[in-house]
Amino acid sequence: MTELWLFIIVGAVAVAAAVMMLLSENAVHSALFLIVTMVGISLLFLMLNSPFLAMIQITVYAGAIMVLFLFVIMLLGAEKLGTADPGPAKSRFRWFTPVVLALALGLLFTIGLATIQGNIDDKTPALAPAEVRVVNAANNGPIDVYVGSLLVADDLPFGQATEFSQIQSGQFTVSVRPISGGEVTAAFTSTEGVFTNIIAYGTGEQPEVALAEQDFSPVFRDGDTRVTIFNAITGTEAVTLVDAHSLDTNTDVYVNTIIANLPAHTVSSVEVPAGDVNWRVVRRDDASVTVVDLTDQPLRSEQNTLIVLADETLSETDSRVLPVVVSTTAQAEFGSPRAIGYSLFTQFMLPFQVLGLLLLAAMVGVIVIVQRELKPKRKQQQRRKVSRSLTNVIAAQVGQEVVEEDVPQLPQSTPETEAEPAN
Amino acid sequence: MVQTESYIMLSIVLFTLGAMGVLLRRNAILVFMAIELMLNATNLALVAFARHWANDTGQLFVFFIITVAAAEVAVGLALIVTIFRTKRSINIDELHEMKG
Repeated sequence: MTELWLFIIVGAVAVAAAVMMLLSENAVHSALFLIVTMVGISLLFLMLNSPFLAMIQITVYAGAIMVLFLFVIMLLGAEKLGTADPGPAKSRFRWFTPVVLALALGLLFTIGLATIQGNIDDKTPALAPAEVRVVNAANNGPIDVYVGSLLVADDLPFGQATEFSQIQSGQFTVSVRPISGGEVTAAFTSTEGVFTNIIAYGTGEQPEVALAEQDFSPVFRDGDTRVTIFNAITGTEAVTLVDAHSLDTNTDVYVNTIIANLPAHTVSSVEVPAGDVNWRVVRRDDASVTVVDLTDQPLRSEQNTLIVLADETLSETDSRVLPVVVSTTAQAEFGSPRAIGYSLFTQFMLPFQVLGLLLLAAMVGVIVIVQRELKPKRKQQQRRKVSRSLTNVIAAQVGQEVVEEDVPQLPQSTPETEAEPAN
Repeated sequence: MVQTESYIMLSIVLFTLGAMGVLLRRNAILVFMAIELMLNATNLALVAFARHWANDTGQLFVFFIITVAAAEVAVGLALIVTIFRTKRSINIDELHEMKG
């Protein structure tokens, strides 16, 4: 609701400033009103999830371009030029006002018609599609995984993960089929914009399936990274994740706890500073029992890490906990400078280059326009000198003062053939 | 979340205002500013559509439009300065050498 009011206020200000821009008598005032409109539009860009463009809008449009406008207005002293109403009789474009009115009315009519006929209402914005990937933490051979009828993992060995793949949103049955035979299913409802891990785990003949959502949104603090941990250890034991270097030798207690009391077969995520970490998974009830060590585990800031604590069977009697670590490059947020830059340097590299050439051409064009204008100017000044001496002669002969405004017209009315005998 | 349609409506209103400015005002610099207003209105529509389809191609287009607009303003204002120097006026009614 707040956003709607914000939109209404910003939109009203932008429209009012645009109207004032059109109605202002003074060109400088018009330019200032246009800056208000542009700032309003940049606010709307912010509300539309594009902070990068909002900043570009303010710096390039409201900054550079409008300064150029103001500069030219001041340079020409054109504040009042062309604004005075020439009057209906003098104007050679009398038909403009009715045409504009008809155009505006036609546009409004089209909008109304489109709104009524085109069913333009209550469309919620589309989000990014749902994505899934499969992590095999089940220590009994490779698995095939289907979401509905779509094969998302083919012959995936233990300890491996697939890439994320896009699926449609809706209700599906996830079917995990070990190569050794059998099938385990789970109900799955995919939601747009949600990343889901399909984790197969367990050491029995048939794996168990867990669906763990992973948050790929940007971390709160720059330089942090998000770690998602799934406890797939057989049994019902909860574990605690601690910093292995934070053991207080006096009290035998880990001072720095990363995640406390992660119950069995649940997922939890935490944001930590990026870097190489030495973590230790200990039993919740007895911190002196180390379940597994994560030694020198690299956590990079641009990556989002999923750690699955899986059981690995070593022999019939012996098993150990193996951390399955899957690092995924975190997706840049929609509309963020990183996302824009990524698209610019991959998909839009050629248009970007062409744009550079265009700017170069514009620069050369401006220079050419100004230079072609400068060269005849010198000749004109010489001619003006001649014509000025001519006016003095005429003024002396007529005995009247020649008005200064008539001077530029003289070279046209007085051919140069006449000017030569005068010299 | 404000609906995409609201942004499109606002964009249409701003574009219409810009078009009216181009047709009604006689000062060449003001006509230019009205063109900038129309470009801004299209930018707003493009960004709204980019959010609607969760596809940032629209935002890239806006980036390009802003850059092209900067180049266009530089060339256009150079032309206006040149015209002003030769004709001592930037009233577009007086610019009829092309018999247009």
